Amino acid sequence: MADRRPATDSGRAVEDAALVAGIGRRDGAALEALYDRYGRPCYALARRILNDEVLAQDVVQEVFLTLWGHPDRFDPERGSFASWLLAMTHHKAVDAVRREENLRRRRTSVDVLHFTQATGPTVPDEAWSGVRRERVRAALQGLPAPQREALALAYFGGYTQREIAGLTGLPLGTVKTRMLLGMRRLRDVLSEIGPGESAPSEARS
Amino acid sequence: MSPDAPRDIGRDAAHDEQWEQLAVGHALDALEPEDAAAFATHLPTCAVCGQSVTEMTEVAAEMALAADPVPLPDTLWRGIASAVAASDRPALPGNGVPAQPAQPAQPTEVDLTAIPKMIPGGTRRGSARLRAAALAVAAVVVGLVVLGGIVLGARYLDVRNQKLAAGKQLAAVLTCSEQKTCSVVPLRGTSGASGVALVTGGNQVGLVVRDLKASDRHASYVLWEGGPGGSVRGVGRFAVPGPGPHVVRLTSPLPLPQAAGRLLAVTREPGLTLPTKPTTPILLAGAFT
Repeated sequence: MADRRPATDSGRAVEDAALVAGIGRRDGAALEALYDRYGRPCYALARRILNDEVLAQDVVQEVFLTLWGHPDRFDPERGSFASWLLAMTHHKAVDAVRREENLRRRRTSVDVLHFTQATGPTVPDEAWSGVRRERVRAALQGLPAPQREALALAYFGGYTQREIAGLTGLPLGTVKTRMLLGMRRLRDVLSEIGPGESAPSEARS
Repeated sequence: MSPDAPRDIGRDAAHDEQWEQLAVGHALDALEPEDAAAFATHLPTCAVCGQSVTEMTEVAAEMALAADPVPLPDTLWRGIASAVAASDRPALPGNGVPAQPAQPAQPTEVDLTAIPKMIPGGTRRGSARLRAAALAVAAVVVGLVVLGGIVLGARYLDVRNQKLAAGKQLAAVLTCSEQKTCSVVPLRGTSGASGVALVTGGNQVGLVVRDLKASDRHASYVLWEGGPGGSVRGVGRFAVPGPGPHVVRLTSPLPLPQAAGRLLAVTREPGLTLPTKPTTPILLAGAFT
């Protein structure tokens, strides 16, 4: 497949908007192009949260069907297409993991916090994504451990703030404060790093 | 609302921080239902929180990139393409053509006169005998699907898809049995593929096919309807995961004339949208009688 990678983040935003508009005109090629670009991070996120291949595929399929049926729900004034799509993926995956309560019971906070080391050659992955992934992981590692734990339990574990308070034995207000401080710090660190040289265009394997 | 949720709206720093805590919880899908409801009410009234949600959602999306990379399953795009093809919103031909309002497809002049030579049998319409035959065909197909799943030891996903397909098949047949106009059109191919189309309700088609090559990201199948004079239009696009038997339901954008001599045909076409005319050889064909 041709490399559809734009040169800059602003270029990516323009291309994404054009592709979303194409979906509004029922252009299947536009949907496929967006799947090529974002299918892999969406699937990786769903897999991470659900730890189940079949459920993760269901979530990603639902996400792209929603995109196909309601492209007008994306508002470029309210953020990037990538963040909108990943937020939708996260929301649906969290819904699914909460329905499948036994999935979460099997996972500990250690599982949620664990990431593998740098990717090997078995997974096709553009250099940009690998670099970006390591930067985000470094930013997470740079957080104080209590903040990192609260964010990981929420984002990758699908736990609510009150559930995290129960898991950690902390007051709910403390959990909320740690999450806020952690997200502020991540925002600041990632904005200092910058978006990188290009966009997360990842061809399918 | 949880005990820690803000109880009124002000602009002091402590108050803003409480709302920002909820904005973070919102971006991470980590709010309790009562907090989510309170924040949903507050959010449209507060530009500061709107900005905070936008920023925190972007940060959360960055966190997504930390997830371990995994290869995309081949079945994933196929499932999406199949669901898109089966979705209720008709996909009109070509790129850049507005989808609404739907325009009646113009018949395209394509020579289908050779199709009747491929068809060994005919169809009957509306009789109790044929409805019984349709049920029998469905029962055999459902049996094959279930048995195939057991014998071949298909993966969980495949078994589940087959069960779904069997359910759709049953639904199609039950719909057929309740319709005054119900046609069963056997489909025959030149390369061993075969199938049957159950046309009900004017524009509903239950289609069972087997031994068609699996569709992929580049191409899937299109069911065509036409007259013996050569006009043809697309009924719908569908994906085939494997040799099958595989069941799909299609909704034609326009009513299907179930008149003697009208033809149904299947081709394998590139892309996702419904083309205006077949561009590849006919793989399956049958006729109403």
